[in-house]
Amino acid sequence: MDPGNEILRVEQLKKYFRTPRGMLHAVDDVSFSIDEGKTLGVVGESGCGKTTLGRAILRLHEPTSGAVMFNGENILNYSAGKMKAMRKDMQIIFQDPFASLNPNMTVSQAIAEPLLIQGLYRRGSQEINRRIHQMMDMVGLASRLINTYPHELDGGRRQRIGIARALVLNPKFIVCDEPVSALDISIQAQILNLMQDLQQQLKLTYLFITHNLSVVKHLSDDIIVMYLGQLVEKAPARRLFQNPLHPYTRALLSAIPVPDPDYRMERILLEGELTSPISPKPGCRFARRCVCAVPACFEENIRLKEVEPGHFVSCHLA
Amino acid sequence: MRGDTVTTETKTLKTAAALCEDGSGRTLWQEMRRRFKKNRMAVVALCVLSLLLLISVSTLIVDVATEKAFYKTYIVGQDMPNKLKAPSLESVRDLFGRDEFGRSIFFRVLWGARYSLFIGISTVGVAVLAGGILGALAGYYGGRLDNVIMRVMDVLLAIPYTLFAIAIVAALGTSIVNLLIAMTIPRIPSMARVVRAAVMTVKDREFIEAGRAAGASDLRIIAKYILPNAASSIIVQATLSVAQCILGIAALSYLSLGVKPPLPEWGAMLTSAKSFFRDAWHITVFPGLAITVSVLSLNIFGDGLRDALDPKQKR
Amino acid sequence: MGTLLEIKDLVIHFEMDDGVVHALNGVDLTIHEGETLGLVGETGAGKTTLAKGIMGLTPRPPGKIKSGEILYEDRNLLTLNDQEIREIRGRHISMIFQDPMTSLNPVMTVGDQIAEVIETHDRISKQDARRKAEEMMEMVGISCERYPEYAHQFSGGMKQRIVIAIALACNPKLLIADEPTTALDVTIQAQVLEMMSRLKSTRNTAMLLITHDLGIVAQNCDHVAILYAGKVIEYGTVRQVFKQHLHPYTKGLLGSIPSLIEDVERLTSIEGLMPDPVNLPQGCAFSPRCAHAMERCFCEAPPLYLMEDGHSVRCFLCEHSSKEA
Repeated sequence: MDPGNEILRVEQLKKYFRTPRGMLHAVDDVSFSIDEGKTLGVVGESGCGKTTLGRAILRLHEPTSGAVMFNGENILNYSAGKMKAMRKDMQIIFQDPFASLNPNMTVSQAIAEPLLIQGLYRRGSQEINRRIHQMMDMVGLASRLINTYPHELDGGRRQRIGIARALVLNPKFIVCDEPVSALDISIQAQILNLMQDLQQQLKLTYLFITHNLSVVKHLSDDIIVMYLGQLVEKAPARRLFQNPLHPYTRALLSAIPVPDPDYRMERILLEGELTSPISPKPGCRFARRCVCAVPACFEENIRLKEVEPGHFVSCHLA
Repeated sequence: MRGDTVTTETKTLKTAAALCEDGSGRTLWQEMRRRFKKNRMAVVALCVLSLLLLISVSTLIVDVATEKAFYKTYIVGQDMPNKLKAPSLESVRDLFGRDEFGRSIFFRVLWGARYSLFIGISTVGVAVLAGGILGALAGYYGGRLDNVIMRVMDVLLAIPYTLFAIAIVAALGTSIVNLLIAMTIPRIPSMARVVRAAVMTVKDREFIEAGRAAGASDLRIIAKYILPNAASSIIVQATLSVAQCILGIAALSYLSLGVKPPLPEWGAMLTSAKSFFRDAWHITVFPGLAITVSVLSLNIFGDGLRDALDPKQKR
Repeated sequence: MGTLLEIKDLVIHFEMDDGVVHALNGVDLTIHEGETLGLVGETGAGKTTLAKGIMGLTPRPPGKIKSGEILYEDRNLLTLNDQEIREIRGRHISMIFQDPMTSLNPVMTVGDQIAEVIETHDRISKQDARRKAEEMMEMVGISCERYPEYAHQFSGGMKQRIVIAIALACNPKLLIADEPTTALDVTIQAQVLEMMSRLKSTRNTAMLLITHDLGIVAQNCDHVAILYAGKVIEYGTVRQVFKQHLHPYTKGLLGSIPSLIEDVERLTSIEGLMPDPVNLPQGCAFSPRCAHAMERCFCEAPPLYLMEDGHSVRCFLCEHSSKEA
């Protein structure tokens, strides 16, 4: 892989939802890019807009404004027909392996479905069966499970079906929306390993959305941290953990319980809880919970600035 | 080329899988059937319904085979000397006794089954189709379309449906087609509501989004993803509606707005029987019993279906 | 430290239509006064069954307590009648459930919910109960001005604080917390855990902390028990279990978590799946997934071996290093 071969660039992406109480700024002015074959981790707590971000990039939620450049073209301008063809290259793996599979489709039907939708193969043809077996083998599903229904399988296996379904079209870019959060620890490790292997074999690019910081650190090359719809910090994975600059990132990192009884980290306990970003006031959205907030934080909007190469943060103090 | 690690993982998984998975490939429907069979009452009801269906079909065959000769002599043909004859076990013809024109009540009840079932099923069939499409559109697209469709349905729901049927039959005249129209239209709103609710619960599930992410069209999503998953509640509602329909037909016929007297419809039989009730109990009891048994069976069967389809019962 | 609760050979099965679910298959566990015992296990290991068993909340039928005893202050909880077990619940042992959304009554003010518990158990006047409920609210970090508010007016973390206030209202000696922070975000989880450990130490409450998050256990517990397929497979102090773990499952579990401190290229996952509790494998339940499994492991179930230092392990690999050997 040649470095710096950018596959996806998101520019000033916004997704607002109209709610009875006002405009909900689910994703507010988020920009970033991902190089081919890399993993970009997106972390944040519930309600920070990370899931909406993934959906908006795939146009499962139509973005309010901004641009999503895939291989240099803005896919937000694509017609329905062109978008359908585009979907071969961009796929998604969901969080909940129980909700993300159609209960009325067998394993083979679920995996074949994208191929049939895209009209790549004929139903029941030799080629499609070969492709299904190939995919099941690739994700580690025993071929005798081919005619089982999702409700007969456990979470780990269901998630493997979800992965096979996403990969069957040979996509280049995959949004992974909390793919392991619903799984037990030992199964979680199996799936993470599988996803890593597949990335290497197939040169996949991942947008890995999760609230689990240790998982994101394990998999990602770069990480972005979101808070109430905004991007607050972006850095190479290792740098972010060594030198977190935004007060929110610092609090987030210090809040993770480390499975080592000898490891003690100074806890930064945040006051209060996340509110929802409905008609937000100007200024830093984190200011009300921030221990280092200065008056300026409540007044001016902040821009993302580059503090060291590749490390961006949106904070007055940085 | 696949990495070695994946291969080994696949192998271990296959062995692990073999240990605890029967891989039976049992569909949701098969599982439902298994649960249904545990409900004795519902199975009995299903048997009764099958019997009714069998009766309707075989009486039809008899009519076709005898070119209605049997029908003309025994069902509508009068036999005045034997009028109001009490039930007896001497002959099949007298099993339920004779009516005021000396016709065999037993045969008439058997021949009447087809009216109730035919009208009930076709009415509900049309209502499911129309209500289903409207409900699916309202539920899937939501917003203004949903509002328009559902408000029209609300208006229809606000009209008492017997009154509605009376109005239609009174305006267009009594015929089976008009009866069908009068029975169908009031059923559409409740079907639409059920389908809409079912569609709305399924519509936000992630597998729908997976389909959209693969580029599936709205039509494909509704037909292949949403409706099969909403089917269970639609089927239950439809079964219960058939029961209501049979009652409705009987009621309209009783009011002389449905099927006309010489035809052996159960409700119509009751109407003509009501003036002889004091002299001959049997001429009202048997048609009445036929209505009760078929409606009860449909209700029990519908309830059994609902229980069998309820996902909460799954372990 | 005195022993507060002792579970001996507890076996709980659920008799379902299509087979017997072997939820707990002989659990031995001791909780000392004032300590925090972490109970770790994956889905289906029997964690919640154990917690409900202690509280006398096993749904019967289909649940069936096959054998064993739960000794609390020398009384066997399993032989108490309904009246007696109600006395124990709340006053001596109380429980926090995973989901704060469903454990609060939506049509009763949160303050009254706390006061009600105090009133029924302490038999004091309404005013006193109210005053005490307000104290409890302040203690879990909620202003007592919010006494007359309803559950839906609180956020997830706040609701869990109220649930904790209710659980602690009668000064129980043992608090069973079943995944108390799983539904919460990390920063909120940190707040709640911090508060729980503060309250615990000021009131000397013992806690059974059930979780699947090994990080929480490492940071909050004194002892740890690892549960697998309804049996304790390893028990010891936090340091023993995390640093000198002996059971292959514990090792696999720890290897499965991506580390925040070190850089690991690849996780050492445990192959295979949790066994089906309806038909458990013969011998050691972990043997089909174990890299060290010997022939013996597949036919014979290992006992819990006790080591010199109080560390105990259910694995034949430790047979020779155990105290009896």
